[in-house]
Amino acid sequence: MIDLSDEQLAAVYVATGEMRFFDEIANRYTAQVRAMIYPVVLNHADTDDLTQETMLRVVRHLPSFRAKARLSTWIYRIAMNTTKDFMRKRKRNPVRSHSELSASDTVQEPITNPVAHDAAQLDRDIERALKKMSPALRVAMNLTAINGMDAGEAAKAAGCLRSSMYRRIHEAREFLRKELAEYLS
Amino acid sequence: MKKTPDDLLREWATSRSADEEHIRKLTARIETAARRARNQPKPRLAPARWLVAFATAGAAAVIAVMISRPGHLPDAPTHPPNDGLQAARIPEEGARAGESLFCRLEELFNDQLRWVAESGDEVSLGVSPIAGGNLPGARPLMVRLVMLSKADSEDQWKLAWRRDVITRSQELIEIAADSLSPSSINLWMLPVENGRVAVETLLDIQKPFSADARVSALVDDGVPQEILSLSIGGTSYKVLQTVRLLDKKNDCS
Repeated sequence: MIDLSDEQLAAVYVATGEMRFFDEIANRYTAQVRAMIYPVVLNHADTDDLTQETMLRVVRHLPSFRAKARLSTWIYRIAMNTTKDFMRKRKRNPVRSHSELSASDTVQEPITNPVAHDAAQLDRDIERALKKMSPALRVAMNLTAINGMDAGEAAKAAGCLRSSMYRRIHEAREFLRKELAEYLS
Repeated sequence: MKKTPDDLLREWATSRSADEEHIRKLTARIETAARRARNQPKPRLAPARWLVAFATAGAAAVIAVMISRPGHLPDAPTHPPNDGLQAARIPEEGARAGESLFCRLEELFNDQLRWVAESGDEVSLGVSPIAGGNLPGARPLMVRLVMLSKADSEDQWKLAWRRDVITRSQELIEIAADSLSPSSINLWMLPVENGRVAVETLLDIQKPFSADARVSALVDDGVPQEILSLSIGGTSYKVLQTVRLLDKKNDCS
């Protein structure tokens, strides 16, 4: 554990090139970056690969990081750009359905009681709804509803205008209200 | 208690999160990969020949298409005067050419045309697959974005790149072009009064440095505005934008 702020760590890594400072950044951010990517790509193996690619881009571009920005926002932005690049490439191949995911992608839990069954069904319905949404709407809900950013911060991470972010959040909520109506009443 | 879509998403995300052991292994994998990448020579970037662009406007997806054509809008001088402002200005003939170009393309694509962007002799169009959506009284506008650079030992600003975008007022446009600078342009403009325009701009710049240029401002018609300025490795850079109100033409000739 190194007792430095994120921005100080970035500056020290750039100045010294010592990998232990990058390791500390990776320790602090791997889980968060992964949590940001999964709701967009909906696949654990791809999420791990994209998390790695994001952190490699971070280490490559740290010399251009400007300390007046927050390192967290800068890293989330790279994560979202990396994810967008991936989604563009995958555009012709739609997201695999839950039943098509490999064993490592699926939480294998026996469904033995009605409550667990309902929870599993809800998870499947949420994923089905997310897959129907455009990546832009998925990113908007991911950044705000799941990761707790306000619209301004989410717009910075997603690389869009604040007004676009408001519109996407509104559209996504409306869509989810229709798709998940039975769980919201 | 009644749940919201946000509540359901949060609960779902928690149930799908990776455990500590998974994160620990992934972190170790990243650290190893980072060391390996650092020890490898940097790959050379191949120049992109084609622009793959994607954009959205309103709720409708926009298909961006590329066409090549000889220079149409008058180029900025290659050697602008000392302050570089001249490179950012949109001359009268440039504005008229922009009006004609937009008018002709509107005739071709009717109200499906969302924007026209130009870089060098390449033009990309944002065309919505869905007709309609133009606001009544929407007015065409042109924005010129330029990056200037200057070595600290020199006096003369040089033009690094220039992008022109023509769209209508209140169009919320997003232009992505990985091979160009800036790699994405987000714009929204609204003429207000006395020749002033409210403009919200976000540029994602990847070369020669990585930065966002973000500005929300009330600007004067045709007056260049500096939206980013920085100095790296003995070279200064600045990004300027100029918004120009265009006339809506009834006759495209």
